[in-house]
Amino acid sequence: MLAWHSNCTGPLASVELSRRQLLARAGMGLGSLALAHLFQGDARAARRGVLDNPHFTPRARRIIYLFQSGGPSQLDLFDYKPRLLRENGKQLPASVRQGQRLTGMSAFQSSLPLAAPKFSFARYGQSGAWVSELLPHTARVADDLCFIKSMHTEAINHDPAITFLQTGSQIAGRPSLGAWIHYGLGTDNENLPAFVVLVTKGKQGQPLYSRLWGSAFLPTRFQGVRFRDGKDAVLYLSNAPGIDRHSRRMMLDCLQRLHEAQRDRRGDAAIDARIEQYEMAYRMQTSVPDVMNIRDEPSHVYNRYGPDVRTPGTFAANCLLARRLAERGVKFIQLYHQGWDQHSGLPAAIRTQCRETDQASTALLEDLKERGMLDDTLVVWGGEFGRTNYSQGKLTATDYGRDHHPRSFTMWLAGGGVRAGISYGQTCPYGYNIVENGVHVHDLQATLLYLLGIDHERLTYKFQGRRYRLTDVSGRVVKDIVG
Amino acid sequence: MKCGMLKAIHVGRAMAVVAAVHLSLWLTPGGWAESVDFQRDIRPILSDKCFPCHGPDQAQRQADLRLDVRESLLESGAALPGDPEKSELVRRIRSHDADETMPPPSSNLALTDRQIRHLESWIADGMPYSRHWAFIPPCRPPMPDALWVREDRDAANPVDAFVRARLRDEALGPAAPACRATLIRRLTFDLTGLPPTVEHVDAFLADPSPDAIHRLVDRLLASPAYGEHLARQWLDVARYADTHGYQADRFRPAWPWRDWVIDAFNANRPFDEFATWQLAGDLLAEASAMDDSPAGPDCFVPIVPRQQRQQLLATAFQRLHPQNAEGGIVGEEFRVEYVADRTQTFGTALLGVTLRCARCHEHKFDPISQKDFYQLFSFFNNVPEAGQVTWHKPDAAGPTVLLPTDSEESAIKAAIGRVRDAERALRDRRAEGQDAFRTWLGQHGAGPAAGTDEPVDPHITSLPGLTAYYPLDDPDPTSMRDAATSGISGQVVDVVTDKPAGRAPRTAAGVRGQAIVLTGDDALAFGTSEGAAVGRFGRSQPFSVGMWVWIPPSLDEGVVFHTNRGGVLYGFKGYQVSVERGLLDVRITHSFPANALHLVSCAPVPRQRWVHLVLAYDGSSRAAGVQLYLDGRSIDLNVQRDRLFKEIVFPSEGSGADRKPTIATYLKVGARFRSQGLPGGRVDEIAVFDRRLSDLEIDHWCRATGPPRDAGDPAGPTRLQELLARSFDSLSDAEREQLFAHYLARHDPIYRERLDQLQAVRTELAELVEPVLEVMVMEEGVTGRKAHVLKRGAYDAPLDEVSRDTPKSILPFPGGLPRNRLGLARWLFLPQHPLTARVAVNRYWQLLFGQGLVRTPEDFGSQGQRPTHPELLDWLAIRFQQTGWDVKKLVRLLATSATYGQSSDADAARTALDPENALLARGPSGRLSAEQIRDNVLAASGLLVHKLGGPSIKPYQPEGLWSVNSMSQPYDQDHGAALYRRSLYTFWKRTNPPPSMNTFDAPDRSYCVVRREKTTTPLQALELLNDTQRVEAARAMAEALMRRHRDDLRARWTRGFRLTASRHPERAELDLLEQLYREQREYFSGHPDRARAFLSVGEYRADPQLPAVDVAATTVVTLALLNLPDAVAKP
Repeated sequence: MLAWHSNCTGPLASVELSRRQLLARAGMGLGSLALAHLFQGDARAARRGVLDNPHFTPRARRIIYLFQSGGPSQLDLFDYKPRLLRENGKQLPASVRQGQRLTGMSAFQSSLPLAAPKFSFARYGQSGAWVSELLPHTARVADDLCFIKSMHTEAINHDPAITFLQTGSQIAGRPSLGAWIHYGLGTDNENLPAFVVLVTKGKQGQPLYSRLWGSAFLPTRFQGVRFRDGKDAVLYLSNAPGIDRHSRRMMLDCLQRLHEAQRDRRGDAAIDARIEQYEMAYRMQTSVPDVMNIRDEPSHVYNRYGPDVRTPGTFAANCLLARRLAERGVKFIQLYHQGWDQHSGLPAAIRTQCRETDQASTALLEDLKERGMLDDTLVVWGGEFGRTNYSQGKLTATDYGRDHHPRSFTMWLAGGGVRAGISYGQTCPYGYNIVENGVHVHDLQATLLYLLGIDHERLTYKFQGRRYRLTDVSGRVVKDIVG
Repeated sequence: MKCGMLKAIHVGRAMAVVAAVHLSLWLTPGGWAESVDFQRDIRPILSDKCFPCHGPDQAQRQADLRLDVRESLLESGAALPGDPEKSELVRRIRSHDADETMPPPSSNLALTDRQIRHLESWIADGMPYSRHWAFIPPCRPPMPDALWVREDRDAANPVDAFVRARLRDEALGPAAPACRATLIRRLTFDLTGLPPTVEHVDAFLADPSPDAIHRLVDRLLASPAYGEHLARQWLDVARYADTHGYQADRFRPAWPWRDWVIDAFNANRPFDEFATWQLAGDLLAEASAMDDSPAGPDCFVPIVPRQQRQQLLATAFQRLHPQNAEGGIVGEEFRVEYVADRTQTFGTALLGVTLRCARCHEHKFDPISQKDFYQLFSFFNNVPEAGQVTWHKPDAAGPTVLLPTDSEESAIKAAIGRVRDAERALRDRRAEGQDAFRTWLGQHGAGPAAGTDEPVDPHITSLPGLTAYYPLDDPDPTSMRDAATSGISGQVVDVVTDKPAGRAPRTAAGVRGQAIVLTGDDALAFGTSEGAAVGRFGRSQPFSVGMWVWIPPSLDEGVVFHTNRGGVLYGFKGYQVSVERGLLDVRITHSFPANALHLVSCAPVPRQRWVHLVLAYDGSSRAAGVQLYLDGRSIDLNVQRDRLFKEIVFPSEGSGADRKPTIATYLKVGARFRSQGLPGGRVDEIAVFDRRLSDLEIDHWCRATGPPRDAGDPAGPTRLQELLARSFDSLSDAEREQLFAHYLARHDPIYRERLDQLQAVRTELAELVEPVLEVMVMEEGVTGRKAHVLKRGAYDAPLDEVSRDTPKSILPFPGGLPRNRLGLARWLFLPQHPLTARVAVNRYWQLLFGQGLVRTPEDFGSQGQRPTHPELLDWLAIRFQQTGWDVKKLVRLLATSATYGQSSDADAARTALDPENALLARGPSGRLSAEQIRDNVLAASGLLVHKLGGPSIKPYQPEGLWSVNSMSQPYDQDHGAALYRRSLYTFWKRTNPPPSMNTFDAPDRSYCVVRREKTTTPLQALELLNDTQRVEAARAMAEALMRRHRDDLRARWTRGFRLTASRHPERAELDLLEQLYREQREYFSGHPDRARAFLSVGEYRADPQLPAVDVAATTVVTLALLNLPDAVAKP
């Protein structure tokens, strides 16, 4: 039926036009009726993504992305460089810097003194992964983690860098990772959004923007929905004061019949879709508070996330929430934790950050593992770039800062089909340049999609005449880290 | 008519005929004739599936095979016209061998069997090519069959003639006319963005006259709401927002431009003028504005006359792109991004071409090369702007236009008059003072006489106006004693922390005594954050600052001294002398580069020797008032920028003794936050004067602090002493002039008094200008900035230099037009331009019909969709041009067509045949825009406040949304009438757009958008039901209904229905509402506290005369009414 209709109008029409192609064309002006069929008219179809079948066998069914915003210092956490201890205070050799650009914040320092981490490192687990004393919990599960020590990016400042990691472009205007996944895979839950965003409450530091979970040129329904602690976990979720669920139900019943009357009068199929949206909204009014209520977890589970879990909106509470969302079939759960941008006073500030994140990240992994969910849940931990091996500002006996460093940083992945207990890639003895197995941001993105069963070159959306994809024109799946 | 046009007509006709024939074939269910048309059937396949590797992009071209040009294909031999079976191309597209088949599997593209058959047929037909339709200039197509038109009265409107001609070919009739209530609702929404009032509906229903629709349309077009509604669409195109975007995403005042747009639509400014002003208003204004400016050419307060001010303001269009203030970015990277954004926006908004593709490589689908992109880019490249906009919130991102209020303007003009008078008085004294000069000279002609105030003492302290003097000979150089009057000691600070560096600077032998050796990271600072400041001067204050400096041999960049908070971070606010590219660079700046005096030395800076460097400034805010002295002699400077019209110190806050600058600045030497300092440089003998010293005094200063000549006369005779020792007759004119200038500045009491007076009125003027609103605009830089092709679009990878030109494939740039943005705008509106009129007409069509005739309004290129009605599009485009680009006339034509006025009710057969309404066999329908939905709620409730323009307002918004941006100020919600303004005025923060807009598919305004998605999500339902704005409006509506129909419930619901849907409810609908009311009344009667709680939502005060339970129950009903399909969708 649809295939035949499409012949009437489209210059790109083909008899065999598949649903996928139609979806792709939706961005090019498919009429509202057709959209209704595709997106709403058929509720089951609406939940499916553009991919009828994954391109590959999926290793992961969902992603929990623990974004560490600001750029955590890989040199103080994971990328152990004894050379820096020996050469603390010496100048960054020109042969290491190789004339590469610095940000305007340290480019004009007349001295770039190498700064040794103030923290001790040890090897953990069977894999012998180096982890700093700042992350005792993470160290405990080192054998579950896949460290990528050779991440690199193109941007040297926060806004372009975080936009690049989350959307594949440094400039606003591309759909976010979660939006692509939602668009590709659809959702497994009709009472919750497929793409949920959780931001640690009350943190200072580099800003976040709704574009980071936006859908850009993909239809708006693919954008992430931010869940917040407090009365309205989702914007406008609660009924106005005085309106209880029963009262709202009466009103919605009336509204539904008014809608039906209109549909019958005007033959407008889009109205069915609107009725369904009111119903889903109604269901969300219970499903969202239900999932947000982490207090109903057994105390041994609840407590393992650390004392912060008692405070709504903390990273710990969000980690536990992420697990609950994952259990309910949410495809992409994006956490943000701000505050890693330590240009000065790094030793003190990074302690706080680690205290806030270490135990909860680890608890999340263990919790997922115990439930047998880690196998098909991919957990990602990392920021938008790394930090320099030299001190920004004065290096003193007790203090230093580090500037942005796009040329190498560390992330870790766990579960969801990645090889556990490995470290991939390597930086030079100064921790400045990558000497082995570099992983570009687009490579990471390609790999995340791959683990979900998606070929990053084939998940495309045609907009302004061009097929866009998350990885723009590059990206390589890092098969070596796939289990 | 030129032959190009004739040719175009032939093609156009052929296209029309072919289209008509094939459309009927298209619509034959099940049966596809295999006759193919290149434009319709072949180019889309080639473009989509083949051009990526065999198209215009030479760099990507595989096997040297090019398919977008017939000659190339013929030459390649890959296809033989008339013989598909022997064509390699056919063999390859049929092949199943993965190594051979085309497109290759790696491309993820595939041809369908049908597409393969089409290509075969096309080759069999002889492989005819034609240029892509959109690049052929439109020509007026013949009207459809005249006889038939006469038979159909409706077809008197040419829109209908074209639409019906095609419908007739499809053997389809038009839908019935929409009922009149529907029609007035549709028209009112489409032309004003608002619903009709019940009274307007009644009047229209009661008007049987044949021209009722025309009068209705005229009334709507004349309503101010029309301009607001059309502006809304243009705001998406122009990526208008109230913040800069990017990291900190701070406020920017751009709303005066938005008001200009509203006014332009209401005044029906012709589209060519509308666009030309936005592209090149500054160039239009340039010729006349500055000459007859009330300020005069010599007074740099750029208050331009109103007409030119509007023209300048219009160009804000090109500055509305996001701008980055993030510290530490590479400014050039973002400046290039801004220029690229302007270029891309120009392409999408006005050309309907995806220029963006050609930023990194040759366009893969359309004949637009990367060089074409950068040739267009170079039109927008020459703006004196900063890639990193200032971090200082109150400062606009220059260049700007000043927009004074009427009272500000008259006060400023009066002050300018006073400044001119004072300047004239000073000039007069210069003419009159000769006698007094002679007298003075007579007293001093035989050499300095004892008992006068002329400096015989070789010490610097004998020069009046010395406020601070640091010999730098302190035993502990971490604290530098002032040997003059300020009482402020200098200290060594780390420029990152602005705190004492905590280590003593190195010293070395100085010019006199010791000197300090600079590290480049630590500055010698002469002030404190508490407010003590040496050298903190406003722009109306004359001053002289100088010192001895030793610059290391290899240093090409580095700051010598300054009063900036940082360099680029705060727009260089303050003054500075630095070394840039080996030259001495002087800036006196409000915000660099636009609002600044900028001068650069002609000769390289002397290095590796002690030089005496003095910056002297006369307080005039003009480059002519800035002078740099090297070793006591003024040096030649090239003026780079001569436009300073706002303050060069940070504003102060507080009062009395507590009054302090918001950011404390003071003289710093040798280093600057986030800038290159003078590592290895040396400095000695720093001095600051609060007056502009005369040349002879500066010479004296140099000698007095310079290296000793001999033991008897450590300074040697100064130039002044030399001149005074000579007889008057032996002095040259220049020497006399120097002496005279010295006399006036130093010894003539009248001149000095007038100088003080001038400074006072300049200060007064500066204070009046300071609060005047500034809006970012375009300006053509004086020194042309070169443009290059950028490899992969990267700012730091320039390839060949390019000059300004337009893509030849669209329309060559004719001789005779200036190669600037004004010429570009003229090019755009040349009658033979193939795109401009079509693209514009298409967008207005979209405004009324929901979708364009070309359904990809952003892309008229070969990847875009072909027009559903090509002849109609061309007819409208030509007519648009011929009516002088009259937008209202165009909108009126579309709005009064029978096609527009059809019923949009879908009958199953019609929908099945044409689900996308491509044939226009029924009226337009579809969800309303975010703004319309909210405005409808406000209008129906009676809360809507009709006020045109002004600063953006902040209505209700859930708390805490902005807090994810910790650098953002909190959302400071407005109160009172501001809550009920049209959505067009809602404050638009790019990184967190208003949820009531964003949820309904409004873009975030980071880039140009010409078409919005229309989705349906549960978040919309939640918003429509629970947003404070909507619940409050429902209550206001309920109260109004109750006051009007206290007892007659049916009447209450009927009117409510009419307010939200513009039609009478049907009986069944009334019954449903009545039932809902009863249920809710029962509910609230059982919970009166809940009724009161429900009525407390929003700031609108509840009417105490009305019973709470009834109001609450009625409010639930009105809330349901505001959720009716009619309240969110166009009927």
